[in-house]
Amino acid sequence: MTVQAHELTKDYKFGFHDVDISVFRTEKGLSPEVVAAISNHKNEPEWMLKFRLKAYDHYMKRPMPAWGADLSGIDFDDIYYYVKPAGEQSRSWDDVPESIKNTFDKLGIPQAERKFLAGVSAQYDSEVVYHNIRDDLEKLGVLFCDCDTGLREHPEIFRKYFGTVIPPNDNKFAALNSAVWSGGSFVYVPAGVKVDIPLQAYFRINSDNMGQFERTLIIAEEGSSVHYIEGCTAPNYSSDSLHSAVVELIAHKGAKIRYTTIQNWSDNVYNLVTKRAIAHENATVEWVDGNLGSKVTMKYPAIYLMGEGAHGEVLSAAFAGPGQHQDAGAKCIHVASNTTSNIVSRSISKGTGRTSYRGHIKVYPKAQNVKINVRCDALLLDEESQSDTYPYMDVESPDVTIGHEASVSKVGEDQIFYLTSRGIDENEATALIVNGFFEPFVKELPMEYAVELNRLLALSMEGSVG
Amino acid sequence: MSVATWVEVGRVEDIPPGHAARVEVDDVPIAIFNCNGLLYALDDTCSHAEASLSDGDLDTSRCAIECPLHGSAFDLATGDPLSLPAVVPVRAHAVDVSDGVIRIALNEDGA
Amino acid sequence: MINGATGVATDAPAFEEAAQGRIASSTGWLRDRRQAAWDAFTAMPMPSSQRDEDWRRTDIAKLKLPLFHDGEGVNDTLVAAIRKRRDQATPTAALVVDAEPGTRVEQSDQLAAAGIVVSSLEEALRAHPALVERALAAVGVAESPFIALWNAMWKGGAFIYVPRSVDASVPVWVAHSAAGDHSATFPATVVLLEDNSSLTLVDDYLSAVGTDELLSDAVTIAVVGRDARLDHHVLQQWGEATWHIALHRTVLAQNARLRMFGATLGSRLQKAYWEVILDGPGAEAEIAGVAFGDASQHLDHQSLQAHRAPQTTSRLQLKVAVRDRARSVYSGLIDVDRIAQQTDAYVQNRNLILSHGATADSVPRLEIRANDVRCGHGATAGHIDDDHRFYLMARGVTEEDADRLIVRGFLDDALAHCPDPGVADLIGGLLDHELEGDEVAGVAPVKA
Repeated sequence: MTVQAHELTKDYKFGFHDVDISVFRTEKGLSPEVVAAISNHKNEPEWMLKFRLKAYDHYMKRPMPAWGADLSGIDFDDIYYYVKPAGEQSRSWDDVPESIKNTFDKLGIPQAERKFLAGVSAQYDSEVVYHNIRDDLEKLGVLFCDCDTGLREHPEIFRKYFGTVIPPNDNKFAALNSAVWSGGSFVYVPAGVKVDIPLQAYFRINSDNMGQFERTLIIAEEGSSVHYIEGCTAPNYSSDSLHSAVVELIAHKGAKIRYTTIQNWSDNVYNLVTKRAIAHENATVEWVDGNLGSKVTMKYPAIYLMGEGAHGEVLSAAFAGPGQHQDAGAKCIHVASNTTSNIVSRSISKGTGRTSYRGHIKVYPKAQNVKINVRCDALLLDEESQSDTYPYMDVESPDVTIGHEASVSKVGEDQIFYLTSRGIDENEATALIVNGFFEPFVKELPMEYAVELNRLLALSMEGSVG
Repeated sequence: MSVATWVEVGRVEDIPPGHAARVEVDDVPIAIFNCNGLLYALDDTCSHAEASLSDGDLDTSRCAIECPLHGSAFDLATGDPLSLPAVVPVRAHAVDVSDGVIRIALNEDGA
Repeated sequence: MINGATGVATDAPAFEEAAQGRIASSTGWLRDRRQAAWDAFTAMPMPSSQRDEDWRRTDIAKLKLPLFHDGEGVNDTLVAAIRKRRDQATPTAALVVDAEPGTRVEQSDQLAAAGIVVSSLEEALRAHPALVERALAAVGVAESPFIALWNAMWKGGAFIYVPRSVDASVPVWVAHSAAGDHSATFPATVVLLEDNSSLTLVDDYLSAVGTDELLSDAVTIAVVGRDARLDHHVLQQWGEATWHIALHRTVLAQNARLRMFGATLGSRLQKAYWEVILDGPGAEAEIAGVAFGDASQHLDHQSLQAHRAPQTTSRLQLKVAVRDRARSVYSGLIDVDRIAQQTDAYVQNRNLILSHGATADSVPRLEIRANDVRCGHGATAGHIDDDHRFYLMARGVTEEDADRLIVRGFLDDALAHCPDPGVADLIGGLLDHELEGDEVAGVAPVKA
């Protein structure tokens, strides 16, 4: 058992960390042996070991992306690819280790919330350690557990869908995740079941030089609905960390999935995530995606509208402070007729921060009566900040209506003047304008997230003027 | 509709079980697969991006080919995609073997 | 037969003999430039839709350079056709035909009297080498394989120089043409406008109707001085089997102004770069264009609005209609330098898709490194609105006519930005022919 203590490097609300209580971790760096060790340690079936090793091959063969953000700062050999925390999977709050409870206290999950939440799936290091599913959800047949448990206890459903939305060689980082994945959530909602309380998972990176490679798979059967919330905070360490998740969503006929993310990794984290959903006939998939933290984020939630009448929404907000690059966006791929999608992106750059919107719209030849709307707006707060927009539109059907509008501008001096002339100081005025700019995103968040987001924005805005 | 034209593309021993070959018929690249002793022919070019399916991984447990570029799997018998990111089928072509000679007939009607 | 019977010969060095000839017959800096360009070209791979982002949606794998050679002479019936459309459009001060066997120039005496130079580029090299060198510096020797090849291979060409404070507002018409199967041509227009001068220019790319496979590797360079104004028209009506790769670049000094209008109608495949470099404070560019693709045409426009100085303004609007199996690819970049504060830039691409099988891709990009800016882009794709069609049909217009009217209406919105009204009428007439289903890839020869 390794025990380490670290100095806090900065007074950052979520930048605390606990004593490292990891009990098993692989050596630094990646090799087929490390991949096999992960699989063996988890007692996985043969097919998963093969899947991982094949993914490892793809990962090794594939070049680093030549586009997007600068990834040259990642030292892949200096990363632990698997760390298992102390304590076995817990069923009740009493069983959760004390140090982990402390972590949740610092994250500020309200007590009341814990009682009412459908389940709190808290990822601590690479393994989900706390998991609580309310009895009535279980009675409805809803499965909500970590992905390792999903593989072990629900092998048929799991194998039917796992890797079908994002194959292991979809891209280099999906391949990496496929080779070393651990934890993440598995959600299965049976036909007709409407889960009326958001399912939540808290994630933390808690070991120095530790990568997080969680894997989430959500299946909503016909006519069901579910809202999943992923909130991330990370402690602030001095050496770079890598987070590379894969999230697969399948919304069957008439089902609805909303997936909300607030990403607030500390500013040393490379966050390279593949998120993709399939929307079948008359299904709706919504990605609500906020990116505030990390050193580099590359994330483009995608929706494949495969069935007639499917609808997709991506609502994205990004904030890049000094030294940060948020390369985020959305993809909507229209395969079937009468499908619609709507993308709204808001981004703010401050200091040397850089935001990039990267989007892809595609309409296949047989898709008729397709309607797509894209709106991206960027705000630049000072002379050093930068913003880019890269929207790709491929239209192969005549029966479409597509609108795309983008704008880049600075905070209006007249807006600032209006507020300062009413006795509001300039910093506060800027924060108000920024909050207003993010309004379309914030209003889609559950209350506690909206409050937290506004608090984080206020912190980020300090000293942004003058 | 045109009458199928059978084109000789090689000999059975050229493609042992678990292997694939790429041929051109009327300038169209075609991939031929031997899955557990049965031969299948698909368009060689993936329906998602420019990649050669004959360079992919043959999954003999379900007779599917995985594209080497992004990993979409296609059913060898029908050409249907079994996983994203490909969403449209590749054409499946008829294969005939007699006297050890492989012949294929292009499916001109599309996928 | 199994494995790799692709039947494609490996590319032998194309144009080797012709290029060596051009290098040998050049002198001084031009000889060095041609040699460096040729060395770079032979060392560079051809653009690939798999490797090069610029070419991802435009595949030229079927362009086999070794099959091409210097073109045959353009005959008098084609020159007559050029003269006819020029006459139809607008009275001009000069007509330049940039084609084999050599550039022909007809011009009024008044031009020379005002100090305006209109000549072949070859002639200008002898008479005004320093001016030519200054203008050519706006394009690198080997920015891309096609630019390298052009630098090594151009001949003939057109050169226009307008001295300080001189207005050359009566248009200069430069036609670029070629003939003969597998003829390659390297059209060149080089323009230098001194401070406070002005010029109206038409660059007209065309060949005879027919299936001759031509290659046009074209460059236009316009260097526009302080307070000077250029109105530039680019018409592209190559025959249906022509490959057209072109760079149109304008560099604007302080308070200079460009109005550019492009009409893309012909060719089998076009990749055209429309670039404006706003190099001096207060420079302004207004660029607009229409494109109509049918049959299996592939029309690629790539624009650049490079803001390199403060208080610069640019607008770009491209409207595209595609029919049958035609494919339009538009990509554009607004690139704002850190020092280019108070930039105001907008780019808009609107596409009308008229048939199943026709496609339109649009990638309008922004890269902004200054904060005090107003930049934006808009892109749309759509089909003919049933309500519009119904509205017209309810008034006794047939469905076909209704559709034609709607498409014209859609394109006219951009055509209204064409600086010269006569050129706008000519383009409007060509669009009508397109909409009626007539062949407008290439022009019909006229008895001389």
